[in-house]
Amino acid sequence: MPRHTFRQAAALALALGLGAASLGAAKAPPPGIPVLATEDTVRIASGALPEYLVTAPRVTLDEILRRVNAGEVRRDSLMRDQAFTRILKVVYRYDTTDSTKHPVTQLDDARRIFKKRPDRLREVPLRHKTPNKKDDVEVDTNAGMGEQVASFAFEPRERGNYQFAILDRKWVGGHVVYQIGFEPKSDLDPLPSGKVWIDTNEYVIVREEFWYHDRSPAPLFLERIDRCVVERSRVDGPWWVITRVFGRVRLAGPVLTFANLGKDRVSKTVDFSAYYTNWQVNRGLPDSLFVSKK
Amino acid sequence: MRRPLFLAILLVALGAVRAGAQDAPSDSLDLYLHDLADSTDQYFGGPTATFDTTGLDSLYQVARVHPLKLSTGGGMSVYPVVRYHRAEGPVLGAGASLTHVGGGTAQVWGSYGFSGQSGRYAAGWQRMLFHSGKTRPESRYESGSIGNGTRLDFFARYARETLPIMPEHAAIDLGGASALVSGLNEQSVYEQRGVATGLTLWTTDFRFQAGFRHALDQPMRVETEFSFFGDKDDVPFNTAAKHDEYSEAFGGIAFSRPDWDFGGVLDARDGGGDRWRLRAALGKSLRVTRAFRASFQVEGGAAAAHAPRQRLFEIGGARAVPSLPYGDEFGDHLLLGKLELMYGKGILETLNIGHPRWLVLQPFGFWNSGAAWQDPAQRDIVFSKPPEDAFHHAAGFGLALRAGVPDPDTYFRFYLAFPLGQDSGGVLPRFTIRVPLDLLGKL
Repeated sequence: MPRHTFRQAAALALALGLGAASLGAAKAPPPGIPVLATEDTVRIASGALPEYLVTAPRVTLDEILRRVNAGEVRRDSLMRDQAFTRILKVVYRYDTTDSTKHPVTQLDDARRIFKKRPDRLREVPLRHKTPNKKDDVEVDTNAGMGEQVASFAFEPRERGNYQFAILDRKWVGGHVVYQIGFEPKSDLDPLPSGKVWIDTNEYVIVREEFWYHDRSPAPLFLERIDRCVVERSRVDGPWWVITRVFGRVRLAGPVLTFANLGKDRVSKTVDFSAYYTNWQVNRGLPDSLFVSKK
Repeated sequence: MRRPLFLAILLVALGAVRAGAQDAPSDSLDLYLHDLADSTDQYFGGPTATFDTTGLDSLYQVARVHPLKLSTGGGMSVYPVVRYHRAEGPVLGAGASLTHVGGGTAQVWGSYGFSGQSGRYAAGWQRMLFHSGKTRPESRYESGSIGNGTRLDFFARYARETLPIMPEHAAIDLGGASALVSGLNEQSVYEQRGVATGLTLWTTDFRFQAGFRHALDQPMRVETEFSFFGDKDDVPFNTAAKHDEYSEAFGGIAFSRPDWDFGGVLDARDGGGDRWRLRAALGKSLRVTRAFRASFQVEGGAAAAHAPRQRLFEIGGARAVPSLPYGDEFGDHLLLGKLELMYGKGILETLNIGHPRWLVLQPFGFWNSGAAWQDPAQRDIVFSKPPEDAFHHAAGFGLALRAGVPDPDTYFRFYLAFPLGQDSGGVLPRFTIRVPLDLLGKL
């Protein structure tokens, strides 16, 4: 038998084995033996396989919330250092009905940021553009590895303030992605409503949107927050990190009036966005990088 | 022979079907997320969602050799000092806060009271000695708070300033607004000149503070009876503080769990002799329904039987029993309870009355009860049973507008207070700026 024919036969045998295994998994188990639930979002040609009633419970919402928090804590604890480039933008969106008032980029700031446990932080400014000489915008960077902007509603101390609900469930290329909605339990809590997308393979938040539509956390300053979006991507191997953040804010009448007393006009709608790129995680950043140079 | 082959082909085919259903390309999740990202781009539009990454690597190489110098901002902030009080008249001045001073933050301010013809000034310095956990370098210049990791601060301050009697219940402006409008400001003040130094430790859910103070307390008298709309004869007197020079230790413990809406404080001062003073407060908020929140607070205090007047407790004023004026009821012991119920939506919105979006007036009601009394036997004791007739009660209702700063739960409140029972004062309109658990102070 030629060699390549042998390989083909071996491949066929392996395929047969896998096919058999996949069929075997679909067979009904003997009574009393626990079974794993199969997601009903799996598309199987009807009639190709017999249907069996599976009584195993789905993962509960509480379990999802618990695992997401555990996943976030684990993710944070495994990160020893980070390096990334952050581009931050602030855009004033003037009345779109007036063609002379196009969106104006108020701030374009790029920095290379290094973080190392326990609390070391260094920022290297790369670019800083503003249309005015006066620059009141300050950007805070936390030295921690956690990404609370993505996980705030799932933190143990905050979770009790929100109501959660499963909004949707999708099967995406071997990943079951849950969409979980959350909203504050009380009208008096200055907390946002929103939804998150969770990849249940790793119980990691891959995307989040939140907003203040009906009420504002500070009515005198913010009329509403239309939409904030936090996007995460997998970078540098297994690490899920924030790669883009967006926010659209509508300023309230009193603060807008006050802000426009000066020469520079402030738009009612303001966009914030951030882009995080060139990620490097756990590359062993040297301590000398964080020594201040005078 | 044919049958097994047929089965094998079938199994392979079925395996392929399953692979097609489950084993989508490995980047399917990425594609799914990219689709969502595209919708984000579409929503926010070009200027917001387009990022210029050109040449960043080159800029980094340049920045390593020639760092880009940016103004960090906030190195110095200046603020005005403006107030009005019958014991000082109009007061004007300015203050400044400077960071990067000896590794810490320095604060200086000075002002002049035109009626009292006296100056007030202060200079202080604060430095973070230790901070564990996740923080950024600029955090050392901000004030600490419970919940932000373990932090130890040193502070030292010299001041000649005007302080309110019963400071825990005092209004933020010492009642200056009502003094200017009607002259009916009952908040009394005194002068303190001295130095204080100490350490503050924040760790887990606690704050510990210990320090030393040497100061001279002096009384102040009414210097002006001016008001825009009030009668000069209605201007109340200023309670006279006792002239007292002393050295004292002071300290306190505070606890806060914002997720429980619960907190507590215990403060102590002891300058020897008749100067000891203890005060404790507990506060708890809870959701009654989605639309209503209740807040409970209780406060207790004890001081030496012959403590100077400025160390005694009062239950009058907007933040205690609001139907009573400041200074009406005082003693070496205090017991105060407050209950408040607030509605979560604006009343104008609920009643379908047209209004600007920012005018979210939330209705609330309250019931406060308190007693300030002298121990009948004039004993220097912490626990003393209050006489039944020492209790005074008030209830009322009003409207609150969330300011959102400096604390997200800070509200402007306008309300009417009604006395319940005899000797509980009269019907009084009140205006305050405060958080629901206001007896706990800043934690």
